[in-house]
Amino acid sequence: MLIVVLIFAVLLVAVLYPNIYTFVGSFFPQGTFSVAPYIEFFATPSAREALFNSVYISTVTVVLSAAIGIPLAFVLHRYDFRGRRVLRAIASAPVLLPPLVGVISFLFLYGESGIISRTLQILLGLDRPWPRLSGVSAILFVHAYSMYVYFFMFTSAGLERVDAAMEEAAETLGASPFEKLRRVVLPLLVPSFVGASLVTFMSSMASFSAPLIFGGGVRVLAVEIFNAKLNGNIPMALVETVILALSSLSVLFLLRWYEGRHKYSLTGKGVSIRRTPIRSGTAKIVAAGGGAVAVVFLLLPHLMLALMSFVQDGAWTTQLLPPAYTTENYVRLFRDPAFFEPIRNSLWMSTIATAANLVWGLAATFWLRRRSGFVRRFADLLIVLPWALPGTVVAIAMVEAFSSFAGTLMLLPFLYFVRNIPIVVRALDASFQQIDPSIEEAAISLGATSSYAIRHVVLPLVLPGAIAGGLLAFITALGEFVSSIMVYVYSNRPIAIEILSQLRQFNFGTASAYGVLLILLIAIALLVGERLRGPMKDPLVQ
Amino acid sequence: MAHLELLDLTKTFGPTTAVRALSLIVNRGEILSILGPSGCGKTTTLRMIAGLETPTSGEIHVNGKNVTSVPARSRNIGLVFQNYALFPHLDVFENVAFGLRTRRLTPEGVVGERVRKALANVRMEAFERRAVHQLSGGQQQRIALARALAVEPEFLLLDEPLSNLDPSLREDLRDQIRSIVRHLNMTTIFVTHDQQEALSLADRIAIMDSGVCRQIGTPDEVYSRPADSFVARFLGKANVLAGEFFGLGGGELAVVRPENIKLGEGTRNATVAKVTFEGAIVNYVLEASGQQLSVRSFHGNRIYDVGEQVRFDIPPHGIHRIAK
Repeated sequence: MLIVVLIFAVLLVAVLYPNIYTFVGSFFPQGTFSVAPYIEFFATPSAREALFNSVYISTVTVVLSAAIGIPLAFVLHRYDFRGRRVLRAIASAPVLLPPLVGVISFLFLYGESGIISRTLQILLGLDRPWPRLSGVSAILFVHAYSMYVYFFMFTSAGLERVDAAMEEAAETLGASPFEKLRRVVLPLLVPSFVGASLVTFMSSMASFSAPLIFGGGVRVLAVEIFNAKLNGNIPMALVETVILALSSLSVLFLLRWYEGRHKYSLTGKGVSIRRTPIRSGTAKIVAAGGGAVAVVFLLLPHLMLALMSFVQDGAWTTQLLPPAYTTENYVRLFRDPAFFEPIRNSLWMSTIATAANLVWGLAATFWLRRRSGFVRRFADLLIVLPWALPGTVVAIAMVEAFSSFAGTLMLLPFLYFVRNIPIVVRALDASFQQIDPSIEEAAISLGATSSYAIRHVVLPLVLPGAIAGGLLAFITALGEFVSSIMVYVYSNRPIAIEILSQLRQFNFGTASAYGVLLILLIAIALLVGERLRGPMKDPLVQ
Repeated sequence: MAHLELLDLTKTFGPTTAVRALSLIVNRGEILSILGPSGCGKTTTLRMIAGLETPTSGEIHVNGKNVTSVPARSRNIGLVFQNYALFPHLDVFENVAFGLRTRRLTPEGVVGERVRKALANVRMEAFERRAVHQLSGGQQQRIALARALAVEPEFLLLDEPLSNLDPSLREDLRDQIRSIVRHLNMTTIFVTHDQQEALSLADRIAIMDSGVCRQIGTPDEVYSRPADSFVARFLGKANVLAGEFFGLGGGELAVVRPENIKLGEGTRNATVAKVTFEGAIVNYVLEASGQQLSVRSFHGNRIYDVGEQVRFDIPPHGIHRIAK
């Protein structure tokens, strides 16, 4: 009974209450009921512009990500060529970049004084650096780079499930390669495309770092909320939060509904089609060359960051390449207590949050797995909510609902815990689903008590999934930026906040060294996680 | 009369040879079964006929024309897959209509008529608008058959058509397939590892082993006069005995089917080593002159016990001689 109270206490207090508080609060700006803030929102051109921009940028992001991710998945699935495996592995490289770190790297590469911009200027003899990304195009560029991975992963997984016999049946019935694609393969992939569109759209609506750092005055809702809060205009912040949440959720429901209509059980036991080796000389060169360009493009942000992390702070001004290099940036991170403090903060807060996620997640998945009906659906809904809502929304709801805790050290780790509930539960759920119920029954029939069966049979089987899910939650919290910026206090400032403040002081080297540290930790955690439970099958857990 | 002719067909996958120098003639309206254990090359042969695999060497002729390099989509062949390969995103009607809507350009008005005719052939008219996953295995099989037949193919190819069905359904569906293809006078080739299926459904059987065709003949021919001991053992039970047992030359073997051994008569003596009672049929294992003999007899007056001495006889027509 205690466990049920624990499960629902957390869901109701940490998830449901803040959101209801925000929703209701948006109608009570001065303590009395009023729709004035909503009228004000829609009467303000800049607010309307922010809403339009958010939806517009997210829609274009979906189109761009699809245009990159789907063809890449097809090429890698259908054809065999030199370097295919390398490209296949590197295709997920954007996943390694925490949001803020990736954006900074793009700034160094393609911004006003970016290396690529300056190189192209010299090579092409232009008056000014190019592409000099800023504004909407910069945001879309960053989004396409980091979110095409969703389309790539969903489409690859979908293609794996299309039985070769399905395509051969179409062939023997007279379908040309194009007809086969249009009438069989693409329709079978619709659920994958819908899933990818959903994740991409929602991530794009929630995107905070790209417009904040790179946006150059472009208004989007996620950032406007932060600005309103910063300016003390809480009623406006609440209204914008509700509108951002509702537009995200309505797209979620729309796509889920569409997905439901196009759901078919793929038999899934079939053999996937054989890869065609590329034989013709020209095609070989094109494939290998295109693959090499893609690999370089995908790794540039990581390499750039690695390079920058050795640059002396303040040394790089107008030169093409930074002139002075040093290892001082890294030495300082661990030697100088002032520089080490953000790392220590991030570590202890992520550890506490993840430990709480695991304990609560195990209890919740264990209790929920045999339930059905209303209670189950209600719990599932609340569990998925912190994932479905943009980070800004979750953060501001918590800040406002628990304003009496504002300025305390524990509010930030609590926020990490809430935001990572869906990640951990999904990972644990997947592990639990792989356990045949009869295994537990077998243990009990052999004389084990129920608690003995759980400790000696169920837990060991769930452990790999639990560790993998925990690692994922840990690294997410470690590089977390959106909610951190809303609730951090100086004494618990995490790495991402320190990166931003170093950047603002033009200490590019120090900022990059922090970024490289995060990338390394993420890479290690992902590798360990993959070894523990096999390759990532669920792109949503990313 | 040769509708389909395979000439010296060979297919290798890397170092392994799946099919070796296979030659075969199928006549119009004939039902041919390719029978063999798994991995014998029978499915590869079927896929080469369909155009889904390109032969390493050899030729495929249809109506006297060489089609070896014609792609699958232009061969006009109806293929029913082992797992049916119905399109899950289309309903029954659209599945059957699929082939009519490819580049064959059947006028849209005729499509409906042709689909309904194909569904009527397999007695599935009432299921036009069903989703594929709502159908049972047997129904899916019939829709796959209707889809293959709707395009009025040159011939019909079936890959292990009954292997995914319950045993109780198999016999029923086997008879249906037979009557449909007979009715349409459709040249049919089906691949199976089930000898009962092959013996009861085919006009002729080609028996394959390790990529080589061991024998082609009518069911009675291959059963009663197997070409070698592999065929004899693969088709039902067989006692393959040294020729000396019957006073034949040492270079020969004798094949005796268990049902051709008569108990309780004749001049030979044996000891009963094992008895298995199956109701109407009783199976024995006898020991005679150091040889083990399987015997299959109808439940007669009495059942012999283990250890009992019994006389037996093998009529001359029950002894088939093969080379060692």
